[in-house]
Amino acid sequence: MSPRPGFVLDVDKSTPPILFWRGEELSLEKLPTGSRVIYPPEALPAIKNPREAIAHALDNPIGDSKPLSELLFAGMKLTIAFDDISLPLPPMQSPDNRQLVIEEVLSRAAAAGVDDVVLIAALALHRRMTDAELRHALGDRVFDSFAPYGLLLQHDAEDPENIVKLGETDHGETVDMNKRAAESDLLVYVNINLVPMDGGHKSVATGLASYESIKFHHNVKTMRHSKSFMDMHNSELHTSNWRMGRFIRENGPKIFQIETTLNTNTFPSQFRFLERREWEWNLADRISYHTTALSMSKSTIDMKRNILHSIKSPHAMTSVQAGEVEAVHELTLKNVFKQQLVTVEGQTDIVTMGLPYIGPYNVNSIMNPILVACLSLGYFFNMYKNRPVVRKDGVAIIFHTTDWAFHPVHHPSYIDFFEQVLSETNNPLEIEKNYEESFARDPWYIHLYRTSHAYHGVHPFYMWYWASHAMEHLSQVIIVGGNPKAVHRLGFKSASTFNDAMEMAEDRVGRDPTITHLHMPPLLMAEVI
Amino acid sequence: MKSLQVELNLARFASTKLINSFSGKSGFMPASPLLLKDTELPPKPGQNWYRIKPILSGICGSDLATVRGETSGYFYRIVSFPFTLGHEIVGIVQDGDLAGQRVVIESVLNCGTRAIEPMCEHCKNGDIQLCENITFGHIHPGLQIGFCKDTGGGWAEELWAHQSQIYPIPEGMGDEDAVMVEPTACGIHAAFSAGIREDDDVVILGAGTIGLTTLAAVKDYLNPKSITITAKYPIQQSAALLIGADIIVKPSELLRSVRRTTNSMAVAPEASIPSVLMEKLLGKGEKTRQDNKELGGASTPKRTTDISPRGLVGRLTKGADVVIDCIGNASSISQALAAVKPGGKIVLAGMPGDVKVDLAPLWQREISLVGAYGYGRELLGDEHTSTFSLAIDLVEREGLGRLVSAKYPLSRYKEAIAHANNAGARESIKIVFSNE
Repeated sequence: MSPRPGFVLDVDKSTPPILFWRGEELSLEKLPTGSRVIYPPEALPAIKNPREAIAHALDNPIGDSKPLSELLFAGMKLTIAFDDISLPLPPMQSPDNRQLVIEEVLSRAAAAGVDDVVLIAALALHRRMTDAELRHALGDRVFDSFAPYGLLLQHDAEDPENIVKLGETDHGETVDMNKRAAESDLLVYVNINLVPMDGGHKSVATGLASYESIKFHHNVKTMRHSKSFMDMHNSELHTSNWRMGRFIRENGPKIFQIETTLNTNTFPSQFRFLERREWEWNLADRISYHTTALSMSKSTIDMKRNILHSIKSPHAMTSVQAGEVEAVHELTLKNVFKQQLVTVEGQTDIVTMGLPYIGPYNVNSIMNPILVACLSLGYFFNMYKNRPVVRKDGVAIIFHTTDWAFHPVHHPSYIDFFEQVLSETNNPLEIEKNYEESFARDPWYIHLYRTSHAYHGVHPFYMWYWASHAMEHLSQVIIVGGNPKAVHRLGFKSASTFNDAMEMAEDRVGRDPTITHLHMPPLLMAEVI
Repeated sequence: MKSLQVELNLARFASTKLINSFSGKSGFMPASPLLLKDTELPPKPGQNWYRIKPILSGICGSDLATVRGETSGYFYRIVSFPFTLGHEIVGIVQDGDLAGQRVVIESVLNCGTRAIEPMCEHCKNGDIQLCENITFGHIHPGLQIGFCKDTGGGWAEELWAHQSQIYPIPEGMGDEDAVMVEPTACGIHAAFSAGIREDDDVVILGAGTIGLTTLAAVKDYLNPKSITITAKYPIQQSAALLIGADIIVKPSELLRSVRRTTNSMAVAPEASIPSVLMEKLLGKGEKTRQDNKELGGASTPKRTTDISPRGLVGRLTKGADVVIDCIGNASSISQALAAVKPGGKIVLAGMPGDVKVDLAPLWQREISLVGAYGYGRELLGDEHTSTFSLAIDLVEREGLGRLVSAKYPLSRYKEAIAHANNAGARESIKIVFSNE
C-alpha cells in the first residue's frame, strides 16, 4: 500500500484528543470543533539498497560535473566535509547516511590511489562533536581509519591560521573558508537534508566558514526577509548563501556535492503512536501512549532526557543525488517536498504546536528557553511555502515545559544571553546592535568553542534572529506549561492550560478564532494556498 | 519617655541568636534583647550637648544584627549598656541657641564629642571614624550615638547630640531625605575608600540601603567606566536602575556578568581534591587533541581542564577593579574575592561578623581588603570635605528620601523590626521609626 499524503483534518465532535509534545512529556489535548490539524505525509518507502543508490549517484552525477571517479587522481588533496550533530533529528540508527556515503567515496578514492584524504565535520559555529558522536555518524571503519591519525577534523571557525579569505561577493559579503578545504583539489560535501533549508550552497558557504562570513546572512535583516528560510526562492538567507556559493565556485576549490534525503519514519516501533493519526490508534498504541506519558511524567528530568536522547531514529534514505551543487539541490528539494509537503487552504488565527524534546542544537543536551523560542518560532513557524500557516498578527500557542535550564558545557553563552541580554531587551535589532559583537569576540566563549564542546558565543543570537520573522508576524506568543519566569524572560505569555491560552489570545484574535495545529514531528512543510 | 533599649542580657542575646540560627531572620524574636522602656533621658553629658527630639530614625543593618544577637563579640567593649538604638537621625533641637532647628546628626563619637585633649591624630585630621578614644573620655564607651548609654539614640523620644555632630538641614529638604543623610554618608565613605578611577569596573554587592547609597556616591562623585550591582529583589533592581547602575544582576548571575564586562576568562568552581583525582583516574578532562594545525583543525592541543571546561564560572582570570561589599557576610566576601581582579581592591562596607572565608585567593592574587566604617572627611578634588556635607548634597541631588518605604511609631517596634528584617522581600528598602 502506498503511503498516504499529508492531510488536514477538520476537527469535529467525534475527533479524539490530539497528541501534543511538551518537551520531554506528552499530552492529549481536545481541540475545539472547527480546528484543523495538519498531519505530515506518511513515510515514503526507503531506497532498498542505499549503497547501490549512492554508487549510482557518484557515477552518474547531475549538473555540470564529471563522475566522482574521474575527479580523483593519485597525489591529489581530497577533503570530505560532512554535516554535524545537528542532523538528522533524532540521530538515525546506524548506518547513518554519512557513513554510507563516505565509505563509498573513500573506496573510490582508494581505487584512484588518493592518499591525502581528510574528513572535516562542517561545524560552522556549532559545538564540536564528541568522539562517540563522530563514531556514530561515520561508523567504526571510517572513524578508526582517520581519527587516530589526526585526519578526522572538526572545522574550527576561530583558528585564524586555518581560515582563508577567498574574497567578497558583489554585495560586499566576505567569503572565507576552512583552509584545508579551500586548498584541496576536490572538496566533497556530504549532506543529510532533513528540512528544505539544509544543503545547497549553504553547506560549504556556512558549514566551513567563520563568523566574519556567516554574519552577512545570519542577521536580523536577512532573517526577516526570509519568508520563509525553508523556502529558498523566498529566502534572503539562501540568496546570500547562493551568492557566496557561486563566488566559491569561481574562486574556491572544486566541489562535489552529495545530498541525501530521509523519510519521516522518525521514531522506533515502540513509539509508533507518535506517527499515527489519533483516531487510528489501536489498543497497543493507546497503551503505549499512556505508558510513555505516565512514565515520563513520573521520571526526573535527567532520566527523561537520558531516555529520550538515547532514541535512534529509524529514518531511511529516500534519495541520494550527487554532482554540481545547484543541480543536486534542486532535485533534493523535490525529494524533501515529496515527503513533507502538505497543501493547506488559507491561514489561521491561531497556530498551535507541541515542541518535542529535541531540536538541531540540543542533541544529547538540554533544550533551553532560547532553543524553545528557536524551535517554535524559528523552525516550526517557518515550515511553510507561500504564506505562514498563521495570519499576520495572529497568535502562536506553544506547548513546552520551558525550564530555566541550560547545558553549561554546550551553551555557556546562552546562559549569559538569557541572563544579561534578554533581561534588558527582547528586540532582535537592539540585541544585534548592542550585544552581538561583544559575544562573538568574547575570548572565553571562543576558548570553549575551540577546546570544549560549546556553541560559539554568537550562536544564541542566531537562535533569536531565527525567530525574528515570526516575532514580527505574530501579535502574541503563548507558552502552555512553561516555567513562567523563563517564559516571561523570553517576552512571551505563560499559560497553565490550553483553555487559559485561548482566553489570553482572545484580545488579539477575538472570541471565535480559527485554530490550526501543526502535528509535528514527524516534520511537515505546509504549502499555504 | 519611650525608648527602645538594648540591655546586656546574656540569656536574651544567646536565645535570640540560637533561635535565629534555626528560623532565619524572619521576624521579631520574643526573646530579643530589644525592649521598649519608659525611661528618663540620661543626664546631659556636658557643655555643648543639645537635647534632640527625633522626627525619624532609621533601622540600619547593624541595628538589626544587634537585635538578632548576631553582632560580633568585638563590639561588646566599644559600646555601653543599656543603650538606645538609632544612629540615622533627623530631629529638632529642643534647647539652647539652636532650639527649634531641624537637624541631622553625625552620630560617630570621637575625641571632640568626648572632650579629649589633645585629640588623636585621626580626629585632628577630621577622620573621626578612626578615633582611637571611643572607650575613653567623660562619656561611656560607644562608637556612635545609638550605642552609648550616655547619649541615648534615635529610637526614642529624645537623645543628646554634641554641637559638633549637629548639621542643620537645608530649607525644603524633607524628613525622608534627611533621615537618609547618615546612611548616605556611609555610602560616600565606602565609595571614596575604594580609590576608584574613571576607567575602573566597579562592582557593588547588595542593593539594600548602603548598597544603593554607595551606588549613588560612586555614580555621582566618581563615575567609573562601569558599575555593576547585585540586587536580589525587584524593588532593589528598580531603585538601582533609577540611581544609575550600568548593570543590575541577581547575586547568582554576578560572576558571569563581571566576566563579560571585564572580558575575562573563567575558571571552574573549586574542585575538591578527591574529585580532581577521580577525574584523572577516569581520564576526564585530561584528554588532549591532536595537533591538527597543518590540517585545518584546532591549532593547539588543549587540556580541557585548564579553563572552565564545563562552562561554569567559579572564578575569573581578570575581574572588577574594585568590589564594594555592602553585605558583609561570608558568602558576599567570598563572592567579592571571586569577582575582583588580581591586585584589585575589596572594600568591606557592610558590617561583618565572625565569618569563615577562604582567603587563598586574597593571598595568591594580592587582593587588598579594606574596611569602610562610618564617615569623616573625603578628598574631593584637592580639598578635604566632611562626608556629612557631601551626603546632604547627594541626598538632595538624588532625592534619596524615596528609599524610605515605611514608618512605624516606636510602639509598633516589633512590626517595624520584622518588616526591616524582610525589607526586600516585602518590596521595601529603608524602614524608619517616626515620632511624628
